[in-house]
Amino acid sequence: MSPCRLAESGKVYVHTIVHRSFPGVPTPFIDVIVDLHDGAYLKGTLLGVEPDPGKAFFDLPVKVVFLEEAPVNMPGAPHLTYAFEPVGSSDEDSDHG
Amino acid sequence: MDDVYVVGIDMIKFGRFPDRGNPSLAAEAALLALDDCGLTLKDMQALYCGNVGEAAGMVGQRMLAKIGQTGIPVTNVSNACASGATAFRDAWLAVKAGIYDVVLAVGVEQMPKGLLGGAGAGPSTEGLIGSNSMPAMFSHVGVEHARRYGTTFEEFALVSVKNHHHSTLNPKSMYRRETPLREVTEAEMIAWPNTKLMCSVNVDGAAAAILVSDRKMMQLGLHRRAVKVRASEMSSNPFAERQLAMPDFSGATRIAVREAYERAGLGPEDVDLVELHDCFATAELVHYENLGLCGDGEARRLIRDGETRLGGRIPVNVSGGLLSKGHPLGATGIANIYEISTHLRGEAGDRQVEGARIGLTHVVGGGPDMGTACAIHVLERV
Repeated sequence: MSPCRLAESGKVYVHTIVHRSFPGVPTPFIDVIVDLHDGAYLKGTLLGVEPDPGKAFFDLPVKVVFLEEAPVNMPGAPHLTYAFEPVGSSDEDSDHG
Repeated sequence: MDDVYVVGIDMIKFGRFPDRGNPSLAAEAALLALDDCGLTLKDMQALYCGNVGEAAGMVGQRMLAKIGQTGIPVTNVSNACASGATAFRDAWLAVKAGIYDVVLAVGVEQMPKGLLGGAGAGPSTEGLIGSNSMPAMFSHVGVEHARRYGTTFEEFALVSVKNHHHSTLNPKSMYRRETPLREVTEAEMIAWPNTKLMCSVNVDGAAAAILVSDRKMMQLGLHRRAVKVRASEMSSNPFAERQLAMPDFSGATRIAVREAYERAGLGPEDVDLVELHDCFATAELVHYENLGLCGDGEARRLIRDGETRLGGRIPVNVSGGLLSKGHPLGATGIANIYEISTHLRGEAGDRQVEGARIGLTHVVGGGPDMGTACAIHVLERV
């Protein structure tokens, strides 16, 4: 097996809005399963969207963003992680044209 | 090969017992099951014990230390939410194979407090990369159903209304309180669309069963209240498209139920009642279809039309289910078999499914980066 680079954009397959998490984790947040444009699948947190169940999440175009955040069990120790953000209408990041 | 029968079976009333341990709860259930058929520990030739929290703690031996150390072989089994059913199936296999004639199976769990799932060692990804909580995982399962078939929040919530209603008729249920639809939908949201009343109850519990060979049953004269095991099947998760992002519980359930119907020589239309793995309200609807109780996409109609209520075409989780009776992981698989056996014996009192002849039990467990274990039993009135 060797490392491979995944697509950095895709569409939301399913979502949930997490209101009760483990102690110390800020809620609510949106947990999505994303179908990446290259055929891979990735779970992650969706940022930049109101956690409102009335919103349309299915097939929402999203992109992967990389950021540094401290895990809840390691405050003050930022780790490189990723999240999803919606692809704006003027956004050029989508890799599927 | 000879048939295998359940001659003694019982469970303790599920609850919270912080001052007791797994061995104590298991011992109580084992003694109840022995009393149910008038046998003693000295009659048992082997013990299979299912438990999750103390998987390496030899719970079976510690249970025997409390009620009788006869030197029999003890196998401690851990298989997530299928642990109790796995212990039962191991007992069934041993009798079916002709190795033993009388075997005890016990499932027990003293639960940790709070939300299940969560972090192992190392940096926690919780909140940063979605959630590893069980409610979040099973909400995805429900939302996938909604994506395919348009299932609504209220339809999922109706599962909890039904199972909480059933539990009012079950003296061994943890909770016994009606929860109208509005109370369910307005309860604290845990992970949309599952509110607190749509999550299984975190309780302690134990259940036990005594399985015997055909020959031994007749020799002991225990055929009158016996329940025949028509099928005992297990499966693990087959490959699923999104498995690295989203654990799958449907593939394993579909494999196990297909094998179970085939072994029993019957189909879903022959089943009079079902105890299935309603760890969350969203899961119950998905399993209606996985178990063939209706066609794909028809679970919404089943719950709306009340077909799975007591008195309906195919009552599901008449015990109150994991949602109200409670879900002590290792005990659940045998507690389900207790519920079905009680109906087949015609001893279920106010919640009796009239004329029940064939019943089916289903448990499925697992989690992110682990996999899935599913166990299905088909039982028949003798």
